[in-house]
Amino acid sequence: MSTTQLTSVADLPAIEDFITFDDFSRDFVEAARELRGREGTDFLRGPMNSLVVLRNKDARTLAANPALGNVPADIVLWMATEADLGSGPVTKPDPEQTEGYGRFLRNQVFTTNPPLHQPYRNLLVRPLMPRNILRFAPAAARLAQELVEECAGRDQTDFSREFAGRFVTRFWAEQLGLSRDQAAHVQHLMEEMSLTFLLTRTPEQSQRLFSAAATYMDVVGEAVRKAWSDGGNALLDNMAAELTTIDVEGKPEDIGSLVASNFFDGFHTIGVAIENVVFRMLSDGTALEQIRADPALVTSAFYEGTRLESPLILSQRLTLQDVEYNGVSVPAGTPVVMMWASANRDPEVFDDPDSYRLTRQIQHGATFGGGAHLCPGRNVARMLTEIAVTALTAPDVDIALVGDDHEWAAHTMMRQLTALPVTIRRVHR
Amino acid sequence: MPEIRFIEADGTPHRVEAVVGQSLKQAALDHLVPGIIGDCGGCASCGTCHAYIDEKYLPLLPPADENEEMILEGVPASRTSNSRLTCQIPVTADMAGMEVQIPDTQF
Repeated sequence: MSTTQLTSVADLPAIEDFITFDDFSRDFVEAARELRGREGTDFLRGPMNSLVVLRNKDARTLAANPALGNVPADIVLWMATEADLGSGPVTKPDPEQTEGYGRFLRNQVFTTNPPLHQPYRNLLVRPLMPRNILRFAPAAARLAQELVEECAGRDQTDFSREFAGRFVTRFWAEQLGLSRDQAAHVQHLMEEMSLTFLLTRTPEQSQRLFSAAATYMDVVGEAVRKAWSDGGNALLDNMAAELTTIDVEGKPEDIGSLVASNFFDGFHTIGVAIENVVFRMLSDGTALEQIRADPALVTSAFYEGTRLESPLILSQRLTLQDVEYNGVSVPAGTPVVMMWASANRDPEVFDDPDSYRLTRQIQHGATFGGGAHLCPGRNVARMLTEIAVTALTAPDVDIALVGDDHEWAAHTMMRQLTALPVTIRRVHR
Repeated sequence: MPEIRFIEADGTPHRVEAVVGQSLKQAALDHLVPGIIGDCGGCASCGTCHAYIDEKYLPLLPPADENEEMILEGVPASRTSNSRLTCQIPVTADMAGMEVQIPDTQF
């Protein structure tokens, strides 16, 4: 009989034994690359005695472990308002300031656990499965063409704001019954709410985030309630009907709050995915021509772009019970941080992992999480990205980067460039 | 270990010595069978391990639950009466000789 020597999370080497937290969070991709190259860094201890996982196999295995649940909304709110990551003073806001942000968190499937999690997740998964989203494709293609026309009339396009963000907010606005003006308002609110991904915020940034979240919940929630009561929206009708069948405490307040909280990633993060995929495509010397020559490569462009620049750099879960994994003892209640930015560049899984290859065999990375928490919107993310890239690589369209000095935003969980100026032109070939 | 034949959509066969008790999806992944992906890790959350099971072996399988049915309704390839998520099928000794047809697309 053999016994396995277990190491508790508290006894693991700390990130700060290798690199300061400030450097770690400045550019997670670079920091993870450096850490992977050191001995004994497969599992690290992060802030608040969290378990930080760098390797692809470990991240995917743990992501699929049902003992790892979501971080409940009250803890996420505490982390957003009071947690001290060691990078500056923490200013605790008044509860009334965070009411809207708390509502935003409470109604998200990503903050629920059993028994509510599965029926709630199914409500979102069902309409967003590959076969069920095909009906949205014509609208997405029309909107992509509309934006190519708009951008082709400009000297220069701010791709993040004037194409990617506008595309996804207009798309979801149409599907969810919001007006164009409301879509523009939501896009502005997304820019404010992206502050939620910062590891630490100034009091002024926190105030902007909480204010934007409250407005967002009101604007989208009200618009969706009205669209649903007006009738004729199958997406809303089906979700609202399924919501009535869920009889578990803590379920979403109503169809308006449900949609507002959960389609944030549709309004926001899918836009970042499109931006990162297009940036990677344009940064490569030959990818644009390859895709023009073989439009089916848009699928590779999506997977390779989001593998290298996964919009969400990491996911945090919470152990719902004691877990033992690969010699590490993880007590119940431990935050587990799966670093997708590292797992997606693990050389044990991806040959020459930092290179961009459209010919790489598609291996589904960990961009959209895993297990029961796999992102319900990942199929739409891929469809919208492919439609956008198809429109931008059409034979009569030229798209090019402006300048070559691109910078990733620092100290944020969102992999996003600080700016992505491009030119988009109609041409005759 | 029962031998199971996975057949790609283009007809390419893969003979797999599966371990009793593991899932059909894991048997395919362990032998690098193309076309069985299993994005979610095996909890019937994604549909990327969809396959068509040899009709005569269907009675041996546990029935699909409500969750698996919901996922199967949305998979991109055609759903047929022998469609199953391979992550939900534990390998048993009497599956020796079973053929599993892989669909032409999983996503």
